[in-house]
Amino acid sequence: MSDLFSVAGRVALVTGGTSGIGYMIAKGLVAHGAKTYIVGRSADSCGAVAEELSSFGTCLPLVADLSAVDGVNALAVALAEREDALHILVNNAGAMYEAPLGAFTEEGWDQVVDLNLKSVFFLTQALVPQLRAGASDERPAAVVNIGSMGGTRVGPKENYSYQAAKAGLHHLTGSLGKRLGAEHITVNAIAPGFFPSRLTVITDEQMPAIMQLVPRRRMGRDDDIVGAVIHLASRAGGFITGAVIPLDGGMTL
Amino acid sequence: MNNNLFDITGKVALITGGANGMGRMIAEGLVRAGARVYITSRKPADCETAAEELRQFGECFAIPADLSPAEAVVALADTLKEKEQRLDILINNAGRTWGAPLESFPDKAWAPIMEVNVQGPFTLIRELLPLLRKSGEADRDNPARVINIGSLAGKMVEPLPAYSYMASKAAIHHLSRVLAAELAGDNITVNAIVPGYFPTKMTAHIRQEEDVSQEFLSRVPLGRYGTAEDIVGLCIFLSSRAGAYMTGGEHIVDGGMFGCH
Repeated sequence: MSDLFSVAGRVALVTGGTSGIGYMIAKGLVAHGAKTYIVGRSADSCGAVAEELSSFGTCLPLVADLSAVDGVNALAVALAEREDALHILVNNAGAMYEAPLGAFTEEGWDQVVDLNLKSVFFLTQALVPQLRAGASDERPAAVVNIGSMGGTRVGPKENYSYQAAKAGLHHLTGSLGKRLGAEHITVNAIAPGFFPSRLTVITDEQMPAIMQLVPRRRMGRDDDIVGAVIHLASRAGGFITGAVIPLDGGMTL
Repeated sequence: MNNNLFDITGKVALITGGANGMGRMIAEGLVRAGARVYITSRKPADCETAAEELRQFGECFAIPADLSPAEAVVALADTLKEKEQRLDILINNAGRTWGAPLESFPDKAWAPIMEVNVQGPFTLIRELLPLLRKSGEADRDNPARVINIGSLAGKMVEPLPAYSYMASKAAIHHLSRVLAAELAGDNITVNAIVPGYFPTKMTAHIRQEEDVSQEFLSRVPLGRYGTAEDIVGLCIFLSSRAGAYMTGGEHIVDGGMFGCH
Protein backbone atom coordinates (compact mmCIF):
# COMPACT_ATOMS: atom_id res chain seq x y z
CA MET A 1 0.00 0.00 0.00
CA SER A 2 3.04 2.27 0.33
CA ASP A 3 3.03 3.10 -3.38
CA LEU A 4 -0.73 3.64 -3.50
CA PHE A 5 -0.35 7.14 -4.95
CA SER A 6 2.69 6.46 -7.09
CA VAL A 7 2.89 7.58 -10.72
CA ALA A 8 6.62 7.00 -10.95
CA GLY A 9 7.68 5.56 -14.29
CA ARG A 10 4.25 6.09 -15.84
CA VAL A 11 4.00 7.77 -19.24
CA ALA A 12 1.74 10.83 -19.27
CA LEU A 13 0.49 13.27 -21.89
CA VAL A 14 -0.88 16.66 -20.87
CA THR A 15 -2.49 18.84 -23.53
CA GLY A 16 -2.22 22.56 -22.96
CA GLY A 17 0.64 21.79 -20.60
CA THR A 18 2.56 25.01 -21.06
CA SER A 19 0.42 27.35 -18.95
CA GLY A 20 -2.29 27.60 -16.31
CA ILE A 21 -3.77 24.43 -14.86
CA GLY A 22 -2.08 22.27 -17.50
CA TYR A 23 1.31 23.59 -16.44
CA MET A 24 0.54 22.83 -12.78
CA ILE A 25 -0.51 19.29 -13.69
CA ALA A 26 2.53 18.71 -15.89
CA LYS A 27 4.89 19.99 -13.23
CA GLY A 28 3.27 17.79 -10.58
CA LEU A 29 3.41 14.67 -12.73
CA VAL A 30 7.04 15.31 -13.64
CA ALA A 31 7.96 15.95 -10.00
CA HIS A 32 6.24 12.72 -8.97
CA GLY A 33 8.27 10.70 -11.43
CA ALA A 34 6.03 10.34 -14.49
CA LYS A 35 7.61 10.67 -17.93
CA THR A 36 5.49 13.56 -19.08
CA TYR A 37 4.83 14.86 -22.58
CA ILE A 38 3.44 18.37 -22.71
CA VAL A 39 1.52 19.58 -25.72
CA GLY A 40 1.40 23.19 -26.84
CA ARG A 41 0.79 25.10 -30.06
CA SER A 42 3.97 27.16 -29.96
CA ALA A 43 7.25 25.33 -30.44
CA ASP A 44 9.10 28.04 -28.53
CA SER A 45 7.01 28.03 -25.37
CA CYS A 46 6.48 24.28 -25.43
CA GLY A 47 10.21 23.68 -25.68
CA ALA A 48 11.01 26.25 -23.03
CA VAL A 49 8.51 24.84 -20.53
CA ALA A 50 9.65 21.27 -21.17
CA GLU A 51 13.24 22.32 -20.55
CA GLU A 52 12.27 24.12 -17.36
CA LEU A 53 10.29 21.15 -16.03
CA SER A 54 13.09 18.76 -16.96
CA SER A 55 14.93 20.00 -13.89
CA PHE A 56 12.34 18.08 -11.79
CA GLY A 57 12.33 14.89 -13.87
CA THR A 58 11.50 13.83 -17.41
CA CYS A 59 9.48 16.25 -19.51
CA LEU A 60 9.28 16.30 -23.29
CA PRO A 61 7.59 18.75 -25.66
CA LEU A 62 5.18 17.80 -28.42
CA VAL A 63 4.02 20.63 -30.62
CA ALA A 64 0.49 20.34 -31.94
CA ASP A 65 -2.52 22.45 -32.78
CA LEU A 66 -5.56 20.63 -31.41
CA SER A 67 -8.13 23.03 -32.83
CA ALA A 68 -8.72 20.69 -35.79
CA VAL A 69 -8.80 16.90 -36.05
CA ASP A 70 -5.78 16.88 -38.40
CA GLY A 71 -3.65 18.31 -35.62
CA VAL A 72 -5.15 15.86 -33.12
CA ASN A 73 -4.25 12.91 -35.32
CA ALA A 74 -0.75 14.27 -35.94
CA LEU A 75 -0.21 14.44 -32.19
CA ALA A 76 -1.38 10.84 -31.74
CA VAL A 77 1.04 9.71 -34.46
CA ALA A 78 3.89 11.66 -32.86
CA LEU A 79 3.24 10.03 -29.49
CA ALA A 80 2.90 6.56 -31.03
CA GLU A 81 6.32 7.00 -32.67
CA ARG A 82 7.82 7.60 -29.23
CA GLU A 83 5.81 5.36 -26.89
CA ASP A 84 4.08 1.99 -27.15
CA ALA A 85 2.11 2.57 -23.98
CA LEU A 86 0.41 5.58 -22.46
CA HIS A 87 -0.74 5.40 -18.83
CA ILE A 88 -2.11 8.89 -18.15
CA LEU A 89 -3.87 11.14 -20.66
CA VAL A 90 -4.84 14.57 -19.34
CA ASN A 91 -7.16 16.37 -21.73
CA ASN A 92 -6.65 19.88 -20.46
CA ALA A 93 -6.29 22.18 -23.47
CA GLY A 94 -9.21 24.56 -23.67
CA ALA A 95 -10.41 27.89 -24.96
CA MET A 96 -13.04 30.37 -23.87
CA TYR A 97 -15.13 32.87 -25.78
CA GLU A 98 -17.52 35.37 -24.27
CA ALA A 99 -19.99 37.67 -25.98
CA PRO A 100 -23.53 38.97 -25.41
CA LEU A 101 -26.21 36.63 -26.71
CA GLY A 102 -27.12 38.84 -29.65
CA ALA A 103 -23.50 39.21 -30.76
CA PHE A 104 -22.30 35.66 -30.12
CA THR A 105 -20.60 34.46 -33.31
CA GLU A 106 -20.49 31.10 -35.02
CA GLU A 107 -16.71 31.27 -34.87
CA GLY A 108 -16.86 31.84 -31.11
CA TRP A 109 -19.04 28.79 -30.86
CA ASP A 110 -16.98 26.52 -33.11
CA GLN A 111 -13.50 27.32 -31.82
CA VAL A 112 -14.52 26.56 -28.24
CA VAL A 113 -16.55 23.44 -28.94
CA ASP A 114 -13.90 22.13 -31.35
CA LEU A 115 -11.06 22.44 -28.86
CA ASN A 116 -12.85 21.76 -25.57
CA LEU A 117 -15.03 18.88 -26.70
CA LYS A 118 -14.40 17.56 -30.21
CA SER A 119 -10.62 17.35 -29.93
CA VAL A 120 -10.86 15.54 -26.59
CA PHE A 121 -13.01 12.85 -28.16
CA PHE A 122 -10.79 12.38 -31.19
CA LEU A 123 -7.53 12.47 -29.26
CA THR A 124 -8.82 9.85 -26.82
CA GLN A 125 -10.08 7.77 -29.73
CA ALA A 126 -6.72 7.98 -31.49
CA LEU A 127 -4.77 7.05 -28.35
CA VAL A 128 -6.88 4.05 -27.31
CA PRO A 129 -4.26 1.57 -28.63
CA GLN A 130 -1.55 3.17 -26.46
CA LEU A 131 -3.86 3.43 -23.44
CA ARG A 132 -4.85 -0.20 -23.88
CA ALA A 133 -1.17 -1.16 -23.97
CA GLY A 134 -0.64 0.77 -20.73
CA ALA A 135 -3.62 -0.70 -18.90
CA SER A 136 -3.86 -3.76 -16.69
CA ASP A 137 -6.35 -5.19 -14.24
CA GLU A 138 -4.17 -4.13 -11.30
CA ARG A 139 -3.24 -0.72 -12.68
CA PRO A 140 -5.72 0.85 -15.07
CA ALA A 141 -4.68 3.52 -17.53
CA ALA A 142 -6.34 6.84 -16.71
CA VAL A 143 -7.93 9.49 -18.89
CA VAL A 144 -8.50 12.70 -16.94
CA ASN A 145 -10.63 15.36 -18.61
CA ILE A 146 -10.40 18.87 -17.26
CA GLY A 147 -13.97 20.10 -17.21
CA SER A 148 -15.22 23.15 -15.38
CA MET A 149 -17.74 24.31 -12.80
CA GLY A 150 -19.07 26.21 -15.81
CA GLY A 151 -20.27 22.82 -17.03
CA THR A 152 -22.20 22.04 -13.86
CA ARG A 153 -23.56 25.48 -12.87
CA VAL A 154 -24.74 28.52 -14.82
CA GLY A 155 -22.31 31.27 -13.91
CA PRO A 156 -22.54 35.01 -14.50
CA LYS A 157 -20.67 35.02 -17.81
CA GLU A 158 -22.15 34.88 -21.30
CA ASN A 159 -19.79 32.15 -22.41
CA TYR A 160 -22.45 29.94 -23.95
CA SER A 161 -20.23 27.68 -26.01
CA TYR A 162 -17.80 27.19 -23.13
CA GLN A 163 -20.49 26.10 -20.67
CA ALA A 164 -22.12 23.81 -23.22
CA ALA A 165 -18.80 22.29 -24.26
CA LYS A 166 -17.76 21.64 -20.65
CA ALA A 167 -21.14 20.09 -19.80
CA GLY A 168 -20.72 17.97 -22.92
CA LEU A 169 -17.25 16.98 -21.83
CA HIS A 170 -18.56 15.89 -18.43
CA HIS A 171 -21.16 13.70 -20.08
CA LEU A 172 -18.71 12.36 -22.64
CA THR A 173 -16.60 11.25 -19.67
CA GLY A 174 -19.31 8.78 -18.65
CA SER A 175 -19.87 7.61 -22.23
CA LEU A 176 -16.18 6.84 -22.72
CA GLY A 177 -15.85 5.38 -19.22
CA LYS A 178 -18.59 2.90 -19.99
CA ARG A 179 -17.00 1.77 -23.24
CA LEU A 180 -13.42 1.62 -21.91
CA GLY A 181 -14.04 0.09 -18.47
CA ALA A 182 -13.69 -3.48 -19.71
CA GLU A 183 -10.28 -2.55 -21.12
CA HIS A 184 -9.12 -1.28 -17.71
CA ILE A 185 -9.07 2.34 -18.82
CA THR A 186 -10.74 4.77 -16.41
CA VAL A 187 -12.18 8.06 -17.67
CA ASN A 188 -12.95 10.84 -15.20
CA ALA A 189 -13.50 14.58 -15.25
CA ILE A 190 -12.29 17.16 -12.77
CA ALA A 191 -14.44 20.29 -12.65
CA PRO A 192 -12.21 23.10 -11.33
CA GLY A 193 -13.55 26.32 -9.89
CA PHE A 194 -11.36 29.41 -9.80
CA PHE A 195 -7.74 28.67 -10.55
CA PRO A 196 -5.21 31.23 -11.78
CA SER A 197 -5.10 30.82 -15.57
CA ARG A 198 -5.57 32.76 -18.77
CA LEU A 199 -9.26 31.83 -18.67
CA THR A 200 -9.74 33.26 -15.20
CA VAL A 201 -8.90 36.94 -15.23
CA ILE A 202 -9.68 38.49 -11.84
CA THR A 203 -8.39 41.92 -10.92
CA ASP A 204 -7.03 42.71 -7.46
CA GLU A 205 -10.06 44.93 -6.87
CA GLN A 206 -12.47 42.10 -7.76
CA MET A 207 -10.67 39.45 -5.74
CA PRO A 208 -12.13 40.05 -2.23
CA ALA A 209 -15.73 39.98 -3.50
CA ILE A 210 -15.10 36.89 -5.62
CA MET A 211 -13.44 35.05 -2.76
CA GLN A 212 -16.64 35.60 -0.75
CA LEU A 213 -18.26 33.20 -3.25
CA VAL A 214 -15.77 30.46 -2.41
CA PRO A 215 -16.41 28.72 0.93
CA ARG A 216 -12.71 27.79 1.19
CA ARG A 217 -11.92 31.51 0.70
CA ARG A 218 -9.08 31.09 -1.76
CA MET A 219 -8.40 30.19 -5.39
CA GLY A 220 -7.31 26.71 -6.33
CA ARG A 221 -3.59 26.05 -6.61
CA ASP A 222 -1.07 23.49 -7.79
CA ASP A 223 -1.36 21.07 -4.86
CA ASP A 224 -5.13 20.91 -5.34
CA ILE A 225 -5.16 20.01 -9.03
CA VAL A 226 -2.04 17.85 -8.84
CA GLY A 227 -3.49 15.95 -5.89
CA ALA A 228 -6.76 15.31 -7.71
CA VAL A 229 -5.03 14.18 -10.90
CA ILE A 230 -2.55 11.91 -9.12
CA HIS A 231 -5.33 10.36 -7.05
CA LEU A 232 -7.15 9.41 -10.25
CA ALA A 233 -4.00 8.40 -12.14
CA SER A 234 -2.51 6.21 -9.42
CA ARG A 235 -3.65 2.86 -8.09
CA ALA A 236 -5.57 4.73 -5.38
CA GLY A 237 -8.12 5.89 -7.96
CA GLY A 238 -8.41 2.60 -9.84
CA PHE A 239 -12.09 1.97 -8.98
CA ILE A 240 -13.29 5.42 -10.01
CA THR A 241 -14.59 5.94 -13.53
CA GLY A 242 -17.22 8.09 -15.16
CA ALA A 243 -17.02 10.55 -12.25
CA VAL A 244 -17.24 14.33 -12.50
CA ILE A 245 -15.30 15.64 -9.52
CA PRO A 246 -15.80 19.24 -8.41
CA LEU A 247 -12.57 20.96 -7.34
CA ASP A 248 -13.89 24.36 -6.43
CA GLY A 249 -13.48 25.00 -2.73
CA GLY A 250 -17.18 24.37 -2.27
CA MET A 251 -18.24 27.07 -4.70
CA THR A 252 -20.92 25.01 -6.42
CA LEU A 253 -22.67 24.10 -3.17
CA MET B 1 4.75 19.51 -3.28
CA ASN B 2 6.75 16.40 -3.86
CA ASN B 3 6.67 13.67 -1.27
CA ASN B 4 4.14 14.70 1.29
CA LEU B 5 1.11 15.68 -0.77
CA PHE B 6 -0.74 12.62 0.54
CA ASP B 7 0.88 12.53 3.98
CA ILE B 8 -1.38 12.10 7.03
CA THR B 9 1.30 11.10 9.54
CA GLY B 10 0.45 12.15 13.09
CA LYS B 11 -3.12 13.16 12.31
CA VAL B 12 -5.74 12.17 14.88
CA ALA B 13 -8.65 10.25 13.37
CA LEU B 14 -11.92 8.80 14.64
CA ILE B 15 -13.66 6.12 12.58
CA THR B 16 -17.07 4.91 13.68
CA GLY B 17 -17.81 1.28 12.97
CA GLY B 18 -14.07 0.78 12.53
CA ALA B 19 -13.91 -2.81 13.76
CA ASN B 20 -15.60 -4.46 10.79
CA GLY B 21 -16.24 -4.22 7.08
CA MET B 22 -15.41 -1.03 5.27
CA GLY B 23 -14.63 0.82 8.50
CA ARG B 24 -12.01 -1.78 9.31
CA MET B 25 -10.44 -1.35 5.84
CA ILE B 26 -10.29 2.42 6.34
CA ALA B 27 -8.92 2.07 9.87
CA GLU B 28 -6.11 -0.21 8.76
CA GLY B 29 -5.23 2.11 5.88
CA LEU B 30 -5.07 5.17 8.10
CA VAL B 31 -3.09 3.38 10.82
CA ARG B 32 -0.59 2.14 8.24
CA ALA B 33 -0.33 5.66 6.85
CA GLY B 34 0.78 6.88 10.26
CA ALA B 35 -2.38 8.42 11.68
CA ARG B 36 -3.41 7.97 15.30
CA VAL B 37 -6.72 6.19 14.92
CA TYR B 38 -9.64 5.67 17.29
CA ILE B 39 -12.21 3.10 16.24
CA THR B 40 -15.69 2.60 17.63
CA SER B 41 -17.86 -0.46 17.56
CA ARG B 42 -21.04 -1.51 19.31
CA LYS B 43 -19.51 -4.69 20.72
CA PRO B 44 -16.73 -3.93 23.24
CA ALA B 45 -14.91 -7.23 22.67
CA ASP B 46 -14.87 -6.81 18.87
CA CYS B 47 -13.69 -3.25 19.22
CA GLU B 48 -10.79 -4.11 21.56
CA THR B 49 -9.74 -7.10 19.44
CA ALA B 50 -9.73 -5.04 16.24
CA ALA B 51 -7.74 -2.23 17.84
CA GLU B 52 -5.22 -4.71 19.16
CA GLU B 53 -4.82 -6.32 15.73
CA LEU B 54 -4.40 -2.95 14.07
CA ARG B 55 -1.77 -1.88 16.59
CA GLN B 56 0.74 -4.09 14.76
CA PHE B 57 0.70 -1.41 12.05
CA GLY B 58 0.79 1.67 14.28
CA GLU B 59 -1.40 3.57 16.73
CA CYS B 60 -4.97 2.38 17.21
CA PHE B 61 -7.34 2.61 20.17
CA ALA B 62 -10.79 1.22 20.84
CA ILE B 63 -13.78 3.23 22.05
CA PRO B 64 -16.72 0.84 22.37
CA ALA B 65 -19.82 2.89 21.58
CA ASP B 66 -23.20 2.71 19.90
CA LEU B 67 -24.50 5.50 17.63
CA SER B 68 -27.98 5.41 19.09
CA PRO B 69 -29.50 6.79 21.19
CA ALA B 70 -28.15 10.34 21.00
CA GLU B 71 -26.94 10.11 24.61
CA ALA B 72 -24.55 7.35 23.57
CA VAL B 73 -23.11 9.56 20.83
CA VAL B 74 -22.57 12.37 23.32
CA ALA B 75 -20.83 9.92 25.64
CA LEU B 76 -18.59 8.80 22.77
CA ALA B 77 -17.62 12.40 22.04
CA ASP B 78 -16.93 13.01 25.73
CA THR B 79 -14.64 9.98 25.86
CA LEU B 80 -12.63 11.28 22.93
CA LYS B 81 -12.45 14.75 24.47
CA GLU B 82 -10.82 13.20 27.54
CA LYS B 83 -8.11 11.71 25.36
CA GLU B 84 -7.44 14.33 22.66
CA GLN B 85 -7.29 18.10 22.37
CA ARG B 86 -8.04 18.12 18.66
CA LEU B 87 -9.55 15.90 15.99
CA ASP B 88 -8.13 16.11 12.46
CA ILE B 89 -10.21 13.47 10.68
CA LEU B 90 -13.71 12.26 11.57
CA ILE B 91 -15.02 9.40 9.45
CA ASN B 92 -18.70 8.65 10.01
CA ASN B 93 -18.78 5.12 8.70
CA ALA B 94 -21.01 3.14 11.06
CA GLY B 95 -24.24 2.16 9.38
CA ARG B 96 -27.23 -0.14 9.63
CA THR B 97 -29.51 -1.57 7.02
CA TRP B 98 -32.84 -3.37 7.02
CA GLY B 99 -34.26 -5.42 4.19
CA ALA B 100 -37.88 -6.45 3.72
CA PRO B 101 -40.38 -6.49 0.84
CA LEU B 102 -42.28 -3.26 0.32
CA GLU B 103 -45.61 -4.76 1.37
CA SER B 104 -44.27 -5.93 4.69
CA PHE B 105 -41.57 -3.32 5.31
CA PRO B 106 -42.19 -2.53 8.98
CA ASP B 107 -42.43 0.91 10.56
CA LYS B 108 -39.89 -0.19 13.13
CA ALA B 109 -37.31 -0.38 10.29
CA TRP B 110 -37.19 3.40 10.03
CA ALA B 111 -36.21 5.02 13.31
CA PRO B 112 -33.18 2.85 14.13
CA ILE B 113 -31.78 3.16 10.61
CA MET B 114 -32.19 6.94 10.48
CA GLU B 115 -30.74 7.18 13.99
CA VAL B 116 -27.54 5.34 13.18
CA ASN B 117 -27.05 6.50 9.58
CA VAL B 118 -28.07 10.18 9.80
CA GLN B 119 -28.76 11.44 13.30
CA GLY B 120 -25.71 9.72 14.80
CA PRO B 121 -23.23 11.36 12.40
CA PHE B 122 -24.96 14.72 12.91
CA THR B 123 -24.81 14.50 16.69
CA LEU B 124 -21.20 13.32 16.61
CA ILE B 125 -20.14 16.22 14.38
CA ARG B 126 -22.02 18.67 16.62
CA GLU B 127 -20.44 17.31 19.80
CA LEU B 128 -16.94 17.15 18.30
CA LEU B 129 -17.02 20.68 16.83
CA PRO B 130 -14.66 22.04 19.52
CA LEU B 131 -12.04 19.42 18.65
CA LEU B 132 -12.53 19.84 14.89
CA ARG B 133 -12.33 23.64 15.16
CA LYS B 134 -9.16 23.30 17.20
CA SER B 135 -7.64 21.27 14.37
CA GLY B 136 -8.89 23.69 11.72
CA GLU B 137 -7.63 26.84 13.39
CA ALA B 138 -4.07 25.58 13.62
CA ASP B 139 -3.33 25.94 9.90
CA ARG B 140 -5.55 27.55 7.27
CA ASP B 141 -3.95 25.33 4.61
CA ASN B 142 -4.67 22.15 6.53
CA PRO B 143 -8.37 22.00 7.35
CA ALA B 144 -10.00 19.49 9.67
CA ARG B 145 -11.86 16.85 7.66
CA VAL B 146 -15.22 15.20 8.11
CA ILE B 147 -15.91 12.29 5.79
CA ASN B 148 -19.37 10.77 5.78
CA ILE B 149 -19.70 7.32 4.25
CA GLY B 150 -22.86 7.31 2.15
CA SER B 151 -23.87 4.75 -0.42
CA LEU B 152 -24.53 4.31 -4.11
CA ALA B 153 -27.99 3.16 -2.99
CA GLY B 154 -28.58 6.75 -1.84
CA LYS B 155 -27.55 8.13 -5.22
CA MET B 156 -29.20 5.88 -7.78
CA VAL B 157 -32.07 3.43 -7.71
CA GLU B 158 -30.67 0.04 -6.84
CA PRO B 159 -32.79 -3.14 -6.75
CA LEU B 160 -32.66 -3.57 -2.98
CA PRO B 161 -35.64 -3.78 -0.61
CA ALA B 162 -33.85 -1.49 1.84
CA TYR B 163 -36.11 1.54 1.78
CA SER B 164 -35.10 3.27 5.00
CA TYR B 165 -31.41 2.60 4.30
CA MET B 166 -31.54 4.14 0.83
CA ALA B 167 -33.40 7.21 2.08
CA SER B 168 -30.97 7.56 4.99
CA LYS B 169 -27.98 7.52 2.63
CA ALA B 170 -29.49 10.17 0.36
CA ALA B 171 -30.02 12.18 3.54
CA ILE B 172 -26.40 11.90 4.67
CA HIS B 173 -25.18 12.98 1.23
CA HIS B 174 -27.26 16.14 1.43
CA LEU B 175 -26.41 16.75 5.07
CA SER B 176 -22.74 16.64 4.06
CA ARG B 177 -23.27 19.46 1.59
CA VAL B 178 -25.23 21.51 4.11
CA LEU B 179 -22.53 21.12 6.76
CA ALA B 180 -19.76 21.76 4.21
CA ALA B 181 -21.21 25.19 3.51
CA GLU B 182 -21.75 25.91 7.19
CA LEU B 183 -18.36 24.73 8.48
CA ALA B 184 -16.12 26.13 5.74
CA GLY B 185 -15.61 29.25 7.85
CA ASP B 186 -14.20 27.09 10.64
CA ASN B 187 -11.68 25.56 8.23
CA ILE B 188 -13.44 22.21 8.35
CA THR B 189 -14.18 20.38 5.10
CA VAL B 190 -17.10 17.97 4.86
CA ASN B 191 -17.25 15.41 2.07
CA ALA B 192 -19.36 12.35 1.40
CA ILE B 193 -17.94 9.17 -0.04
CA VAL B 194 -20.42 7.20 -2.10
CA PRO B 195 -19.20 3.61 -2.31
CA GLY B 196 -20.56 1.10 -4.73
CA TYR B 197 -20.28 -2.60 -3.96
CA PHE B 198 -17.43 -3.62 -1.68
CA PRO B 199 -16.81 -7.05 -0.11
CA THR B 200 -18.61 -6.46 3.19
CA LYS B 201 -21.40 -8.18 5.04
CA MET B 202 -23.93 -5.94 3.28
CA THR B 203 -23.05 -7.43 -0.14
CA ALA B 204 -22.56 -11.05 0.99
CA HIS B 205 -25.90 -12.12 -0.48
CA ILE B 206 -24.70 -11.09 -3.95
CA ARG B 207 -21.16 -12.37 -3.72
CA GLN B 208 -21.86 -15.82 -2.31
CA GLU B 209 -23.59 -17.21 -5.40
CA GLU B 210 -21.40 -17.30 -8.49
CA ASP B 211 -24.11 -16.71 -11.10
CA VAL B 212 -25.72 -13.90 -9.08
CA SER B 213 -22.31 -12.34 -8.63
CA GLN B 214 -21.44 -12.56 -12.33
CA GLU B 215 -24.76 -11.06 -13.32
CA PHE B 216 -24.19 -8.21 -10.90
CA LEU B 217 -20.64 -7.56 -12.08
CA SER B 218 -21.87 -7.22 -15.65
CA ARG B 219 -23.45 -3.95 -14.43
CA VAL B 220 -20.10 -2.59 -13.23
CA PRO B 221 -18.08 -0.97 -16.04
CA LEU B 222 -14.80 -1.88 -14.32
CA GLY B 223 -16.13 -5.41 -13.76
CA ARG B 224 -15.13 -5.95 -10.15
CA TYR B 225 -15.95 -5.20 -6.52
CA GLY B 226 -14.17 -2.46 -4.62
CA THR B 227 -11.09 -3.24 -2.57
CA ALA B 228 -9.55 -1.88 0.61
CA GLU B 229 -7.10 0.15 -1.47
CA ASP B 230 -9.94 1.81 -3.37
CA ILE B 231 -11.65 3.13 -0.25
CA VAL B 232 -8.43 3.84 1.63
CA GLY B 233 -6.99 5.76 -1.31
CA LEU B 234 -10.00 8.05 -1.41
CA CYS B 235 -10.02 8.57 2.37
CA ILE B 236 -6.33 9.42 2.48
CA PHE B 237 -6.68 11.75 -0.52
CA LEU B 238 -9.51 13.65 1.17
CA SER B 239 -7.62 13.75 4.49
CA SER B 240 -4.30 14.98 3.13
CA ARG B 241 -3.02 18.25 1.71
CA ALA B 242 -3.97 16.93 -1.74
CA GLY B 243 -7.67 17.11 -0.82
CA ALA B 244 -7.65 20.37 1.15
CA TYR B 245 -9.62 22.37 -1.45
CA MET B 246 -12.45 19.87 -1.74
CA THR B 247 -15.55 20.36 0.33
CA GLY B 248 -19.18 19.41 -0.14
CA GLY B 249 -18.24 16.74 -2.68
CA GLU B 250 -19.97 13.43 -3.26
CA HIS B 251 -17.05 11.22 -4.11
CA ILE B 252 -18.35 8.22 -5.96
CA VAL B 253 -16.16 5.12 -5.89
CA ASP B 254 -18.18 2.45 -7.62
CA GLY B 255 -16.38 1.13 -10.68
CA GLY B 256 -18.43 3.44 -12.89
CA MET B 257 -21.97 2.30 -12.03
CA PHE B 258 -23.25 5.84 -11.44
CA GLY B 259 -21.21 7.97 -13.85
CA CYS B 260 -21.52 5.57 -16.77
CA HIS B 261 -25.23 4.96 -16.22
